[in-house]
Amino acid sequence: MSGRGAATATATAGDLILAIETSCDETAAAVVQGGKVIRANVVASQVDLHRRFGGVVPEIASRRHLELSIPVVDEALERAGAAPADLAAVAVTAGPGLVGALLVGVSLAKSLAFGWGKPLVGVNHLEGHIYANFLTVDEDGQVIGDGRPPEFPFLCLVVSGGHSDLIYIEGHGRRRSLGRTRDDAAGEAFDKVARAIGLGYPGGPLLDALAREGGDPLAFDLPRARLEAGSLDFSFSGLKTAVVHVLERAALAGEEVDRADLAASFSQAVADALVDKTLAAARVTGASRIVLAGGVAANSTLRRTMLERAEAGGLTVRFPPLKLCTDNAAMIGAAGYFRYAAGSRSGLDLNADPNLAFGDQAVEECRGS
Amino acid sequence: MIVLGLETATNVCGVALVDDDRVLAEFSTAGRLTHSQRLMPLVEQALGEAGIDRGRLDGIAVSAGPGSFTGLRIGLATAKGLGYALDRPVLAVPTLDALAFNVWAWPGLICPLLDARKDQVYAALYRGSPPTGGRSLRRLGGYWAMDLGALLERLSAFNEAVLFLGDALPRYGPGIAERLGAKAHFVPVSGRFPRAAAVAELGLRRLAAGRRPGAAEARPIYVRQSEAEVKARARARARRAATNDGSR
Ligand SMILES: [Zn+2]
Repeated sequence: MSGRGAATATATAGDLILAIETSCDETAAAVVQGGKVIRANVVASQVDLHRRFGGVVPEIASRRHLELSIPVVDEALERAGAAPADLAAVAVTAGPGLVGALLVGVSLAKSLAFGWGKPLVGVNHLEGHIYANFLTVDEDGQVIGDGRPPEFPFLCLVVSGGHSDLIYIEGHGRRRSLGRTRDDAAGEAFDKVARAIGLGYPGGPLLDALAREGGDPLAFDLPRARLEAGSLDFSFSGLKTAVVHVLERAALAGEEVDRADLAASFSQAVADALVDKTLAAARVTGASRIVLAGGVAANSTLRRTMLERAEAGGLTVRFPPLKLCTDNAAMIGAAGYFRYAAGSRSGLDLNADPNLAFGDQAVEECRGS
Repeated sequence: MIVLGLETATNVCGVALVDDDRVLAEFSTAGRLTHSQRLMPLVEQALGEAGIDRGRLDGIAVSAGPGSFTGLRIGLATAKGLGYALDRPVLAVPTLDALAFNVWAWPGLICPLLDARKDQVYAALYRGSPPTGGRSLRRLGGYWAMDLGALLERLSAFNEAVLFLGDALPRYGPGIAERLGAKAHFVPVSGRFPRAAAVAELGLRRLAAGRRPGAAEARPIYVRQSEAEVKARARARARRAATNDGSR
């Protein structure tokens, strides 16, 4: 186990979290130290399994989670060189997500925690995405970004297949929800448009790759959602419909649509909407720091647009490295650590909650009885 | 030896602790709370009331199906976690085996039936052992998911008395009685549900026979594929058929 950075060596013992994440189609386990040092980050992707169905099939995902759960946990502990006795707690995603998938991780985490005699900490998946930004040392000992966690307060844009949320974060467990999507989540819109354009699964990354193949973001004039003045909510269904209309009109006229142009124009429209509302939220709250989180934070158009426009306005922007944007357990380990440090504990009756809320809440949200 | 048994294949959530000749604790509930909320608290309670430290367990036995897919996974994931954490074998006991074991001494055919939804039952057929026979329950054939008509067709080939039990009886009992007449016998309500103690005892027998499967090895018995796979396979068959026709 040589080659780890100084950060690992100096972190104190007793703050190791084993984290488990099974909310969708990645079976993941990680060992995280002090909420910031990744000691192991194992992600068994099921993408190949679901590709032929054109999307995630919940029953198939749940079956696969059960098969992979023990091997993935075993590998995480092995890679971290950690014995169960070294662990401070077991953290697990309790929701939101696919209920059958979540139940595998929750059931496993509860029995592991009980078997080892360790505390259990239920974590909200969205909170996990945000805390991916607190991970500062990678599995191989490399420093991530500037090696420092984000400073409070900050404004967080969480964008994924299930969520588009603007959240003002004042401290650990202290947050205020400012806006959310009224219809499709940003990632959902990417997936649907990818399907309409004829791309496979997973749609978001494929669409991003296509847009980067020299697509012209100004080729198509797509609508930006207009919600009532002052709202920080998002709406993407009109934009998705506009893309479908472009394709239908072209088909009727027997014309070929430049798919790279359409992908680039759509990506830019989504990015503009997200950045507009984020900058508006920054003005309202006076926040000077913007943090991106979630799978869509890996989108290159969003990253570029946010960096350009926020920095022009004197705001700082940060986002996790690509592999920590998509679902993983290291982020759950980071969020779980700060919950654990704040005294949050879940009971053995912790349940999976597919619609677990995440709004103006304190640390108690996931606490069992 | 002490074995913990978990039963979550149907709407009954059960936990039991057995040793070689006693049931040390057994809880069964079919209340409003989900298995996910119930199971681990009952495990903790069973160990606490029996005064058994979890480190003294020799194995974890779990009802492996067929049954509710979600219920099976809650049971299996829990058993795997306990087995892994305690470094003990995890014994996947077929749910229908454990159910038939409730009435192992019946001198004839035993047919446990679970409601499989979609107008089907999960079933298997066993030959019981009269107390003087000294042998254990013998299963005739596999674990089935089929409609009642197909099942009764199979049973009628035997032309002998059959004892039925399981949670499918309220729905299918009258149809069975009508078809089989005096040959059909039904276990009373209190004896017809899956019991964690039976799962634990069958697990203990496997341990005693030297079996030591690890936590990663324990697998559920779904019997049925997922809907998506069934449909995908049907589509692939249709495609193949179309291609074959075209090439002729
Ligand atoms: Zn996610």
